[in-house]
Amino acid sequence: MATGFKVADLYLLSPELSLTLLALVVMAVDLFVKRRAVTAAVALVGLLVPAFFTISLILTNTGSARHAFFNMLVVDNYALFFKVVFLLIAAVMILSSYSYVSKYVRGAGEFYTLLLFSTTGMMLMASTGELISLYISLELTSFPLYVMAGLLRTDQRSAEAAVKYVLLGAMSSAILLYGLALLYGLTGTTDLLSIAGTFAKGLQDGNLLVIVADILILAGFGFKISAVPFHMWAPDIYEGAPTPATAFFSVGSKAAGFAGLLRIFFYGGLNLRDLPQLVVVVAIMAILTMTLGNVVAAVQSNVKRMMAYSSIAQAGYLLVGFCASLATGRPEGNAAVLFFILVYVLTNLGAFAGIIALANATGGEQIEDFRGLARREPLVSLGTALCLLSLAGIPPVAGFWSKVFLFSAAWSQGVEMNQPWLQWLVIIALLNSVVSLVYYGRIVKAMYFDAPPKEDRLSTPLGLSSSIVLATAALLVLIVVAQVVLNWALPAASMLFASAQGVLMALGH
Amino acid sequence: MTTIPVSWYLIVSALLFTIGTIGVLVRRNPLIIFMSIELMLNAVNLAFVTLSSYLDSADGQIFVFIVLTVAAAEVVVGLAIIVSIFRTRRNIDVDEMNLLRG
Repeated sequence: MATGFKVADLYLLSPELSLTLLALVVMAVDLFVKRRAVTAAVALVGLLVPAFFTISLILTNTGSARHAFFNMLVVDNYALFFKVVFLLIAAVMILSSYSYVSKYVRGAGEFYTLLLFSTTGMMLMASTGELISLYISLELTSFPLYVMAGLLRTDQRSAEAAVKYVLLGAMSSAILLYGLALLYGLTGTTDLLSIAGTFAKGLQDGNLLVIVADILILAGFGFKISAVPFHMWAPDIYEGAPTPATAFFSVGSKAAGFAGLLRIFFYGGLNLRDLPQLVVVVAIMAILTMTLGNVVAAVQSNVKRMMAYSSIAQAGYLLVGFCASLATGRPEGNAAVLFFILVYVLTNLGAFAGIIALANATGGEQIEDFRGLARREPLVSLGTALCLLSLAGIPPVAGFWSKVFLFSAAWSQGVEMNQPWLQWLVIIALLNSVVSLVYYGRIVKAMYFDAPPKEDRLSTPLGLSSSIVLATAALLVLIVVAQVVLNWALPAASMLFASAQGVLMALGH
Repeated sequence: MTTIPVSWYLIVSALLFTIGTIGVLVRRNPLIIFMSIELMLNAVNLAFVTLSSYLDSADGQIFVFIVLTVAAAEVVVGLAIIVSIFRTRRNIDVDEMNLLRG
């Protein structure tokens, strides 16, 4: 464990450092170069640098965690897994947002700069080992998102979405901070591993305060991952914001929220106590999130609002895995969560790219605007349909496997650890998946079986169609290599537990 | 001289936080809502400083510096967004923001 500052430690920070530099370069290029294609190309090609450093960190990874800057930065399997996910998000986002941004957004370079800054925050969030850096990376993730929501400066709906987002986001981070303050007061440290050590030894008193701190932290992250009852911002902001920004919120904010949530709860050892009340709260949250998300999504007519509720529902499935690991203290649930996040990110980006393309071409975001699109734009429709089916969890697309892994992990842990209520949670999740078929199926039906209003062929910009093809291809490849990725996700998830268990062993338990 | 017990500070902090939360929920003007959020953040800062002095550790005070800085940045972003919505509609009451049904 590193205790001081070493220049060599900068290597561990190199992906984030190079990403920040790239964001600044993109901002400068946007100032001096008139052509927007150049800005987007610089951003996209420049992503190769942080990708290179991340790959280099993966290749030099020995399986044990590397620490830097007084444990503020932790580079372990878990962090590296999420770094790859966030870089994927950034790359696909730049590719798929190009045509929309240069058509509708006045400051196109700003969009990419904000996107890259937010991605930097997300990558830091995954590898934070300390409460202060956790808070900073959370805010670095969120601030660019607030601005992105309001980038359509002449559109009233976009401005309204931005105001709602910034007010609710600021309030949620204040709530989270109060939880962190209580945690600090209870343990006397802001270092997550030392917090785990304190909890492993067992607190003398203040157990009620621990529950309050847990709930406040859960509420703060609940906003970021849009879990019920902290979801009400999501539909409004998803509808009002520019569509590419919405795609970014739905995957980036959620993945980063879960990265931070798992990090603080498992690496920070909050799960080392006997915590029946907290598990009940998380289970109820998961049930409400799934059910409300799916039921309300089924009655929406605007596709963007429908996708907002669908993403709420997906957060509910993820909470099932989180809840299973929290209740049983086993890493399988979290490993399934990591795999689910990877698949969800690809699927949702693909689905949103399809929706941007089709809405751009038809000029409408209502479900009836999607009628007969399979005949007018076959390739994009096929990709969008596959992504939507993957979100619903229908074989043979990767979404099927991610749901199988998630639900079977929760189910088998329920059996093994003698927690039968986990099986009920899985049954509710399965019933919800059936409900979700209704609304995903409605769009697919409109695209494939309804008569088109016009018979002309539509054209899709290259960036959009290539990102849909990429996302769909990645989903098809993931079916084959699902086991390989899972074999990577399991040690990543175990890593969080291993560190906490290392603390336990050091204490002689 | 008697010292004020730690729990009093924490109770004041909890009260401030509650007042701030209520302010966010009942006020209709985004500027006042922002002030209420600042109140919540200052309640957090009070808790951090109190605990830092009680635990005799500097981490809490460093946290306060970071929170202050980040809150300033937050206000910059928030006020810019409020100005931009004022430009499009000449009115910033959140009750009037009903283009997006909540």
